[in-house]
Amino acid sequence: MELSTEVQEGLQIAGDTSVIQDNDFITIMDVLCHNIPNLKQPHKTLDIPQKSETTVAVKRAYGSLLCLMLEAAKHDADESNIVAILEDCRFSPDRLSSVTKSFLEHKAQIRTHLGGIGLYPPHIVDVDWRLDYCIKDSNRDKVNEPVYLIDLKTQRSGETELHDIQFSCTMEQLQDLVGKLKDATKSLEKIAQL
Amino acid sequence: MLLVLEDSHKQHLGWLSKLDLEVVNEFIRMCVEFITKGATTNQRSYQVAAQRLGVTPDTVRSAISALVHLLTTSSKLALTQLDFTDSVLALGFSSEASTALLAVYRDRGGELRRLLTTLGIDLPHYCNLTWRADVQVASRTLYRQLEPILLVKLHLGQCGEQNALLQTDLTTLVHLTNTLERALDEIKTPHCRRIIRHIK
Repeated sequence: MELSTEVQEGLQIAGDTSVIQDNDFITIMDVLCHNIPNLKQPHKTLDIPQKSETTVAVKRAYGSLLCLMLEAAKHDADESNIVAILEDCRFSPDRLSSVTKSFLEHKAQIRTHLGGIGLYPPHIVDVDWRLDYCIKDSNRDKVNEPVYLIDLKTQRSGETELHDIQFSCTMEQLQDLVGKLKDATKSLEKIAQL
Repeated sequence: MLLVLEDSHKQHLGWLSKLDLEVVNEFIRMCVEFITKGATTNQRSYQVAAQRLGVTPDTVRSAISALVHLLTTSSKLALTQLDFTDSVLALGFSSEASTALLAVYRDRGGELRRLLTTLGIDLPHYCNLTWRADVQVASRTLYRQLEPILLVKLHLGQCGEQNALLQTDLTTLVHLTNTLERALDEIKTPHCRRIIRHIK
């Protein structure tokens, strides 16, 4: 895992007790922990009405810590990786454990979020079905056959709303569909056991 | 059940029934062509037939239309072979001609019924499903993943002309399979069986 010099400098600022006061550091970590679960729409902003030099330092520290967490999650880093980086940036044991603790706490969440970024085909998330018994239609009498209406709920990349894919099928076709899905499930279960 | 046709159809078929068996057979052939290839292809053969019989092409066209109507209506009502023969005899056809018509009805009935199905309210129809099992290993934003993914291609439409490329994960796949299996089981419940038994 490589961090840019800019981020490394920012981390050194974050670890420097003479630049970032303890209470400012607590604020930074508080905002960070609040915003990480809502990376798409971070709504809590840093609000530190102090001298401009400290404000810039706090912003740099915040940005660098966020960058560290995202990069570390992207690389699936563990505690020792984070500790090594923070020690290089001369973090005090208190601040070091605070950053490490919140990273480990949010790592899975960040990885889920990062996994959702990118292009992928619509993802099936749910299914609805309806069973009709067709008696006749305008062109045929005595149809008398069951008709299934299937509604696949899908989610497109980067969107939260669901889209429908609707189709109808006869009982034989649904049996065929379920048979194929069962085969696929078996294969996927084998892979998942690896 | 005897087939009830409108007077105009009866008139056209009545004209046809008085012709020789050979001619009737030729009309049946043209009628099958009409059903399988459409109305526009055989305009020329109508004219030839009209010239030979000494009638207007419209008479030939009407007779073919009436014959097509006879076959489609019989398929629509799902007439039994016996009812079909009785209906045809009642229209004045000879027993030889009715045998020839019955042969067409028997051989082409299923196809006609399928064609009629396509005319109805048409939701995309399940045709086939092909799948591929993948493991997502890494992406630009996330390294070191191990995520089993199923890529699914859903073929919809009459012969799979509409495709949908989708994906899903194992948990959803299990849920999907179980839900659809429950849907299949539903048809075996007493409630469904009772409905199916009573609607005949």
